[in-house]
Amino acid sequence: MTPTGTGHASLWTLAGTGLFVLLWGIWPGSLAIPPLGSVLAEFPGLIENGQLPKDALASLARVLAGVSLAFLTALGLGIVAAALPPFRYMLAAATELIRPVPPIAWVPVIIVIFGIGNKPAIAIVTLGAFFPIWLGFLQGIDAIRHEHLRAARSLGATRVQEITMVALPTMRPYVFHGLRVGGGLGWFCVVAAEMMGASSGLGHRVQLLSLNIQMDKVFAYLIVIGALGALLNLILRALAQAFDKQDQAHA
Amino acid sequence: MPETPALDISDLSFRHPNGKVVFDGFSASFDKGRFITIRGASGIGKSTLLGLLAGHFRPERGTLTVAGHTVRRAGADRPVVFQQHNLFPWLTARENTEFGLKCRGTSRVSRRSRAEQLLDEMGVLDAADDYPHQLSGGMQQRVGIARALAVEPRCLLMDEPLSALDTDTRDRILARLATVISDSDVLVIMVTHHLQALANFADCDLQITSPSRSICERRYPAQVKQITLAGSAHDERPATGRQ
Repeated sequence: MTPTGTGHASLWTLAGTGLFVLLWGIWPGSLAIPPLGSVLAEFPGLIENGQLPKDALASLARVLAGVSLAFLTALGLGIVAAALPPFRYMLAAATELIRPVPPIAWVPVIIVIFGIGNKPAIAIVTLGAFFPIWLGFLQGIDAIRHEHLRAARSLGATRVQEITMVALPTMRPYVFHGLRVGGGLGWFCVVAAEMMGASSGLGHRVQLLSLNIQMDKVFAYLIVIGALGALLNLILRALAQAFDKQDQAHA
Repeated sequence: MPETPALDISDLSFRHPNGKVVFDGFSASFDKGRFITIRGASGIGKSTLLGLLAGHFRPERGTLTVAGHTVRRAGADRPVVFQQHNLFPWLTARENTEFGLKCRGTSRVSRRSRAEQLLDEMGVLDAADDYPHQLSGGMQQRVGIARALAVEPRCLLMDEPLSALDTDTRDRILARLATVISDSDVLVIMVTHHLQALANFADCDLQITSPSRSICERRYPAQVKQITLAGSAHDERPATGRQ
């Protein structure tokens, strides 16, 4: 039995998860890390009073807004970069300088600009999601082959058809990959941003609960944050696979 | 049969964006022909000439006439079959073949039927639902030819389509092309190094010897003569050089 086969890998993953749950299950508990049983016991109450779903929806809405804004910005810039190649090089220095700065480091600036509430959290998500999506667009533009454009032209494609039937399908896997990474970072950012000034959301609630040292509830929220992040990743991956025949072609 | 002239290049001048002069007052002509080969040393401008004939590049000076029509821009009357990266990797063989028809708004049913007919003629109908990476080099080339023929071109431009193929596959593709030529009015212009393999098919040979010089040679291979030259049998010019 080798741990590297695809079927075996799933078994090992299942075994690892089971072991983790088992270890947490026998954990007697401490101030920082409560026992699994008491964390699970919090869920019915949190769901019943509507607090957990409400917070989860608030965070998801911010991620959706921020990632959409990042996508639309990258799309706009990508169209300009595709039409005017020097444009991307004009942005290159700024991109390389800003990209390594963790989005959370912009919180003071963003709070000064947008105040508190929804807007700063969405702005942080937008910042976090933008760069992977933008880089996906750039890689997609680079992947467009002159041969394909010429072949399309010589088969009678118009300029618009060259874009819709050649350029966009070529870019699609790269853009989806960027969107997947950007979506993950957006989720990462929203929780952190909500801890620093939002009045709702999963991050905000974790912050409040931790101040009251309600660690059972904090961990219940952390489990939901992790599960929703993984679900978001799965959905984006499934979307990418559904739309990307080209992925198979490049396999 | 294409209208006269089959191919006429007159006083062509073209330089690459890097400044290299590729053609400088270059001329060549074949008044009749169905299968023209273009040959010449590496880097002399064979593919560039094909690009000019396709309308992908604009000459600085001169005119190009293909199958009786002056080249002004790229169009479906002169599709190109490239050596590599010929097919769109995100489309199946069938969808690739339908591409040109989709561009011109042909109904789904009609283009599907036409694509299947051509894939069948090329001997790759069984692979209609496969993506290019699932096909061998020879099958990809045959799908590329089917895609080009789907738009019912006056002329098929081929840029070294045989280079990456083994002998059997090459001969099979050539045999298919010969059938296509005999069944339709399409003119084939092919950049190639394989004159030997084309001896039974090509009826005209254009050699580029310098940016301003060419050798145009008219041949009468048995097979082509038999299937195509009914209207030009009197045109007995075994080696008309034009420089």
